[in-house]
Amino acid sequence: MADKVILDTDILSEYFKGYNANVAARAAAYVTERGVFAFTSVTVFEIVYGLQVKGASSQLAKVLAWLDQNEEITPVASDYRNAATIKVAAGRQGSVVELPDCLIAAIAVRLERPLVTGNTADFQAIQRTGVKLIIENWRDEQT
Amino acid sequence: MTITLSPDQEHAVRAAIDAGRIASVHEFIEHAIATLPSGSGSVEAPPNARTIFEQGLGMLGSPEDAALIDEVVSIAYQERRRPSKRGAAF
Repeated sequence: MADKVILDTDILSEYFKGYNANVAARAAAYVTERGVFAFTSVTVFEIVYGLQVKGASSQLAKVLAWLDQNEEITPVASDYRNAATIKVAAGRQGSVVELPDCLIAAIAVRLERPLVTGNTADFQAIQRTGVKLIIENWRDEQT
Repeated sequence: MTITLSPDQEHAVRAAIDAGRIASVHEFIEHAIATLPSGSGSVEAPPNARTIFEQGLGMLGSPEDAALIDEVVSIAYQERRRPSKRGAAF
């Protein structure tokens, strides 16, 4: 059975669009095994914020109804502490990573779940700090 | 049955209660049981489990909605990369 994963905002949006065949195929295979998708509250914030900024109330209602049927992972206290550690470690290596990426990475590491993202460069910078973060990109064809 | 939570798990449950997302530990357990994956015998699968994929795929697939969600992601990732006003010296 596939590992439980955490979807990042860009991959979730790709799935909502339905244009990318690799994302659609991998999402279909995943949800068949796991039943629901999982994402962090950071992603929920970003989607709600963006759709509200754009005044897209009908799209927001549709998306929220779908999000509510899936698994939203809320950060716990240790995630914030570990996010701080990640940010400092990345900074010492010359990489600037901000709270959202650090927090998502900290959650993925705590839960030992791969992070599904197309934002690989920023999360690779976090990997280089030594944290056990696994990255998958569903835009890539499954090998 | 006795269930032992890790400190993080216990904190998460207490935080959910404090935030009003669940009313009690009892409600938390009821919710957890309701979300068990199918195949557990006595517990029914979530009613929309099979159709969640279909509901979400292409939900924002019209050209207008696709452009909208692209912009939402762009806003989000600009925010993620916006450096703090005063960067720390490492």
